[in-house]
Amino acid sequence: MKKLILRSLWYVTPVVLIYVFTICKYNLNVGDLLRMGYVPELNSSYRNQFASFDSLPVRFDELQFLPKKKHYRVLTIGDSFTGQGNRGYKNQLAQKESVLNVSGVSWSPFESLSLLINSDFFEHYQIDYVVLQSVERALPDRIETLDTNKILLFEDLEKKMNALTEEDKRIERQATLEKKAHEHLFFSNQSLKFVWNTMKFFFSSKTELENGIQKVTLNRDLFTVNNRSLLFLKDDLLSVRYNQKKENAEKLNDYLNAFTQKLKEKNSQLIYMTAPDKYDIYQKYIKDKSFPRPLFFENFRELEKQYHYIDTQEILAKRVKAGEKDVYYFDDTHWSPKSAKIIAEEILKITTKKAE
Amino acid sequence: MLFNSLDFAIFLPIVFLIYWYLLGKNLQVQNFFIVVASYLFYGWWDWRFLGLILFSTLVDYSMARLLGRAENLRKRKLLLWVSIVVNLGFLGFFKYYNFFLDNFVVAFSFFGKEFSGTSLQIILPVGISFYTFQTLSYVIDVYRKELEPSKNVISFAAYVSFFPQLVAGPIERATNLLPQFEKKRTFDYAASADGMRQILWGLFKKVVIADNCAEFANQIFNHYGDYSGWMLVLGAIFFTFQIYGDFSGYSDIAIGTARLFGFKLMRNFAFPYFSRDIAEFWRRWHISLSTWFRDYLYIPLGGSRGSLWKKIRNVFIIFIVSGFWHGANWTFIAWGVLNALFFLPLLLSKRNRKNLDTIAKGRVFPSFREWLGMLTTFSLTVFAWIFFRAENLSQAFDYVYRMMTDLSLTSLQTVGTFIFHRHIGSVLILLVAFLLIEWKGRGDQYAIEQFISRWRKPTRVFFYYGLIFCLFWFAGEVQQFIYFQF
Repeated sequence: MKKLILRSLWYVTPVVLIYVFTICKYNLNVGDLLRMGYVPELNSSYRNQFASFDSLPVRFDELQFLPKKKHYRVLTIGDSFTGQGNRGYKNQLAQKESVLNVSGVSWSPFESLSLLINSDFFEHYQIDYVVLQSVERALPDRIETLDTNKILLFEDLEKKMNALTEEDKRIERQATLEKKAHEHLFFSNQSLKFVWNTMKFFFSSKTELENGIQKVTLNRDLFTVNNRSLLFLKDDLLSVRYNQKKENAEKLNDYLNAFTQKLKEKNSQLIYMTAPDKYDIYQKYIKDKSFPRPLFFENFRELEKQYHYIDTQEILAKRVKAGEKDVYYFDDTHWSPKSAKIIAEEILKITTKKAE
Repeated sequence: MLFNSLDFAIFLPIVFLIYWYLLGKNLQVQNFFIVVASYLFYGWWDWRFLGLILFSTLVDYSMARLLGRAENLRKRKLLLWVSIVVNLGFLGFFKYYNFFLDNFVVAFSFFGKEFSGTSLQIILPVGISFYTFQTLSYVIDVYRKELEPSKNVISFAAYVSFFPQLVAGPIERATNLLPQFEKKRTFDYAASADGMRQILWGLFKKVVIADNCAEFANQIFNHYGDYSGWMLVLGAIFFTFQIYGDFSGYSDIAIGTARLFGFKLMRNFAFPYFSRDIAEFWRRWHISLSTWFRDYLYIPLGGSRGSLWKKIRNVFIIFIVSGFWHGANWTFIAWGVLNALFFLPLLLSKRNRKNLDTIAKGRVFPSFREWLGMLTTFSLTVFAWIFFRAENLSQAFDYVYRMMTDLSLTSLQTVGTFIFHRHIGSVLILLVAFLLIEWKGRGDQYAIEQFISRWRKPTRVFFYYGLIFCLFWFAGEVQQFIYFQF
């Protein structure tokens, strides 16, 4: 029996050691880049600096729950940069203005707005300002597939919102089950991926981690984790080629101008912002100079706009240049709550200026 | 707890060490420990159903003891029927109540009558179909006087609840397993090492083959309306390997685990996808269930003797009941009917016992005839699995219709695009490697039983590490064992 046990240990021990290392060091409650890239947390107290934002009460309403209130100062439509829970810009804005958030109407914020404009939504809700947001890397897909002729009746919108609530409940139940299954997951490639990607992260200055997460070295300390690494999504790089072209920026601008005209008829004004890719904000500081310079914001800046435009790239890049750290999260593809606060203040400048 | 879970990876060595090191000298205590460990294993899913298995155990133990003392035929029949009613009653309630209720409602409304019944939110106890049949076979064997009733309730409880095969088989006959609880077991290194090897191979089949195939099978079946005919063929093939890897993998783990404790369970799969005809397939697929139905239903009905009508009737009964055993859905019945239709011509032409030996025995390649037989049998089983996998009959027929009416060259190209874009090349390579290994070891109890032992030690070690690496690197998304739902 001793022979069986020893022989088994010979095969099982390396596996167990790798597994134990993974469950000790691989934290699932970190930013998406660390999680998807299978990289260990460098500083477990990194996110404590943003803890004060967690105490902000949630003050915005969700269209998903079909609120009874009929007049809002601001309607927000965006992607995950508009999300971010009570730390996000829409909640910070909601501390001062009434905010209604729209999600689940369409996968694309542009299409969502187009559907609302083409429907009788604005007859049910009076909205003073529409804040439309899209992340830079998603622009190619969202612009190329936009169909502004689609219609959505309010009763269908209601059905969609009810279905969303049911789906959320189902996902919550499933997440509880999957979390339970995940806690007991022994056979998965997670452990091997974690070991492999950890080695790549620490021993390579420029590498691609799991799920296309890019790791490069910066020439300055721009994050409080005291590490000159920059993590960003491969999609940020892939979208640079499309977003370089002036005509694509013009196409977007044309759509936005058209939305502005239609919203004017509904007594509403459009505020638009593109959330810069993390790569865009930090590209200047990458040691390796072979990375292409993103030109989207430069091209877009020059265009004539009939809507309110928040140049998020200019605002945030200035702060990085001034030496401010964690303008974006180190471990996440999104801007930090500090930046979300600045964005909320920029929106307020527009909404309060009008009121005056 | 799942075999491929951390809980089981901790549970098994602890039970193993206590079983041999602390309790190896006392048979009764050892058996009692098996009962405790098995109830812990079963209760890990849902402790509420422990009462059910305990009750079932005590009823069948008592009925068998009474049968052992009763000589009067009428009394013996009564005792047998009590056991059958209790066992099948529980099974019927937990598994089939809502099915029958829903169908009564439909039938009544068809005749213009209203029938209102209340559907119940019944949770199906894991493994009920398996342990119920296991205990039933015991009582029937005692009734037939093929077996003496057990006089030791602990041994009997251990036989019923033995954790390696409790929740998904093999459905063990009391004549095979019960005597093993009643005699002293000694640790056998060779058997245990072989058991570990079988566990490793079973894990590979389940974690690498089945779970990876499941990902693509689910995607295609759940959105079958979006795919071309050839893609639907691919989906059916993925499911074919999913169910084989899942179920035979589980059986391998169960058998291997039992060997660690000194028990020999029956073989449950014998390379069924290398079968040359459907009759051979049914001698090689889920052997414990098919032999159970043969011995306790088919033969008592008359088997293949009697008039033509009787033969046909018996074949349909067996396959329909077998299908129905799998679940309360018309799709399983349809799957059974299909298999009956495939099997019947062989039986009626007396060609059902033609292929009894191993295919291409002593040769590397099968003959052209054997190839043709394999391909035909495989195609028929893939077709039947569509019904097994579908949510309902309507989906099954729609799937088949879409598949059959879109088998053009353009449709075939979509398969290439799918394979390329979804990066399933590695899964296909693993599948091919798996089939080659299975083919090589087709004459053994499980694929890597014998031919590995002829390799030099460094090669063997490298192979085992390779399998372990595959278990972790190629582990698919965790899927429940398919047969747990039965």
